[in-house]
Amino acid sequence: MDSNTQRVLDFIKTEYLCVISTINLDGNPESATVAFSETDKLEIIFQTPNNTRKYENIHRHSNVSAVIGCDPTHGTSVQYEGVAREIPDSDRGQYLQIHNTKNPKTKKYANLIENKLFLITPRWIRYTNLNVDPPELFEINIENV
Amino acid sequence: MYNTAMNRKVLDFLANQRVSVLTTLLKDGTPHSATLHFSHKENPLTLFFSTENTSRKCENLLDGASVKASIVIGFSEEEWLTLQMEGDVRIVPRNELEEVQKIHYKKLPSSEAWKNDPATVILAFTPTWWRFTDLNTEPYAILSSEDERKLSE
Repeated sequence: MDSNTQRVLDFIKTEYLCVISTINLDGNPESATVAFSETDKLEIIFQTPNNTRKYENIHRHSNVSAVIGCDPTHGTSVQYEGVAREIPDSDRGQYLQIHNTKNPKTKKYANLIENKLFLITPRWIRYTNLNVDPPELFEINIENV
Repeated sequence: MYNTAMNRKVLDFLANQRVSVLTTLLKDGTPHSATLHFSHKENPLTLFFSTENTSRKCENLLDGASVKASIVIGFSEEEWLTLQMEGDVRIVPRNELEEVQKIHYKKLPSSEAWKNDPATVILAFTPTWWRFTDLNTEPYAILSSEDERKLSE
């Protein structure tokens, strides 16, 4: 893992909420704040009930975007674009463990039958740190992850 | 008018926030999201953002078109309040710019440093749908444009 990828990973490990955007049936964006966790491959894990708009959207259109680090007082954010897929039951255990370890408050939803787990694989990432002068900014494309 | 349907509690929340996540579509139809400071006016409800015309979010806006966009405001793990909005975004045309700049730079004076940069544009977002969620209660308390419309019918 190169130093930029490591820096992104180190940052997103300190964050718990992100904004996920999906595309609806009309081809328009919809966005929501969700709790998330991550893998060492910079994949994002989140859960949502199967009656939400984002659940239906992703099954029709798997391209999504996200922002991690929305708090202006932190001065650092990660913009993220990738492809989302529902995690099959056969793999659910390992990802649920990662997710619940980072987000213990969401454990209460973990065993609800309607609750589904998603994994986003990154295509493009931009890291921005406004805490330094000049601001630090770099991009990562999927082939570099 | 749409904005009269937005609950005062939600408008007060909006007035106390400074940062949003704006999502637009890239040329290939995939979503792109960015954190942006915002200002707003209530009549009609419109949000404003200062950005560069070279930014990815402007890809589909440069011909003056109004395009679909979504916004989230509220991602604090302390407040647990979040506002989702969907609507239309466009670049503010030159003949409307002076009024918008007054609103925007009053709330965000540091943005004025880029006022005369030729790459600077101000985007205007007009919501057509919104949902405000208070996650501090069980079950969550939700206000939405759909509820407000039902009440006014």
